[in-house]
Amino acid sequence: MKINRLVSFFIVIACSLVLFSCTKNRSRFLEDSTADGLSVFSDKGFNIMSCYINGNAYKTNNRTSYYGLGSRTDYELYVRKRVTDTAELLVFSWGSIELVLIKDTFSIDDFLDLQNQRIQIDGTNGYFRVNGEQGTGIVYFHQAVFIPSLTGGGTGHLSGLFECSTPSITVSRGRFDHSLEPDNFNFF
Amino acid sequence: MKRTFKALTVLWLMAAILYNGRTAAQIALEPYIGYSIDTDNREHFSQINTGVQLAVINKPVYKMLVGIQGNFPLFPFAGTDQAFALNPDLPLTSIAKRKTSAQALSLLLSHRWKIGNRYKLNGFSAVLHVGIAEHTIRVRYYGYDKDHYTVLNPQTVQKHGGVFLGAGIHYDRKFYNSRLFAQLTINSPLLTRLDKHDYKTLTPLSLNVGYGFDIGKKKSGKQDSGK
Repeated sequence: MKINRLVSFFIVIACSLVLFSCTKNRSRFLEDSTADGLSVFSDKGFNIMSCYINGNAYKTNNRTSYYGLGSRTDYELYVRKRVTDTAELLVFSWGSIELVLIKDTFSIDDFLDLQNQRIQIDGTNGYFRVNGEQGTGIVYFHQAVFIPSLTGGGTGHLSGLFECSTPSITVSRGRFDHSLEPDNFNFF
Repeated sequence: MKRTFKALTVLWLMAAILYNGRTAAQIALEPYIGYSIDTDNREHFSQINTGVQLAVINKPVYKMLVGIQGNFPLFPFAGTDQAFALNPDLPLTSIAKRKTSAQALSLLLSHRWKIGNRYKLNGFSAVLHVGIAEHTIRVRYYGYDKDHYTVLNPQTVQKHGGVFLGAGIHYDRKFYNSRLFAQLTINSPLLTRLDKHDYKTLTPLSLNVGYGFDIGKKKSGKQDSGK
């Protein structure tokens, strides 16, 4: 009898968790009327990057939060600092497209200084990597903001434009707009 | 949405004609034209209205009308947005000019009650209407180098459909065997789901002037003696 009750209890709990588990799409695609298949260039935290890869429209997966049995979020962008023997790298990763900035050292102020900067990526100060191929290009950071909180978290924004080319791939009319959170902004 | 609207328009008019045929009453046709201004968006879109309504219940005190109305943009709202270039040989920013206009198509079911002496040759009526409408806000960018610059946070075309309510006041005056009228109404926003970045749907304050005349056969001699 007791075991039956226990089993019933766990079934009810399991059903409740399944019922109350849900996902939330935290990206917004608003199509640019001047560029078929691309999102507009925005700075409102739409959590999306889109561009033409060899003329074909490409957009990142939606930022999706899962609630219920263990909450988690799949991000469309990860910003990470990597330290190598010779330099420090700041990597902006949108799935198959990456922008890598290279400097002796990267502080949070260097990240903040990117705002309103149009930077030519020439292979020495950084590079683009598209489907594993390395190339050069140009990027404009309209926003590069992160405000750490006292509790160790923080929020920020990253938006801008980019174009690049590798030996066999041309990426054009790229635009990105993301909100930054401690889980996708691993700088410290 | 356009197909649904066309189908609804046909159904709407058929219902009105059938209803009138069943009651064998005299009906009145009221074409009109006017001006409306949006009271909700900061752009205050202005429009020319034109429409026609059919009085399917046509009594001295009370009229029920079905109608169709189109609102066409009059003065597009002019604005600017910032555009950015990646090309290092070009200035980073440029100004993109923007023209925004709004238009609407509505189907209306109106009720009109005469205020005061019903048999006077002219007078006021209270108007209450319910309708369905499709509002379209169009945006056009120009005056910048579209090949090299990208507009930041551009406005995009929006289409919304939904139900609305309206109220107003109507004045009519006998003119030979017909009537001239003027009508001031205000409509509610559409009952529809909006994104926080969208324009609001139109909330037009309208002033229309029109001409009403009876068509069809009379029910009895005393019908409409007040008009």
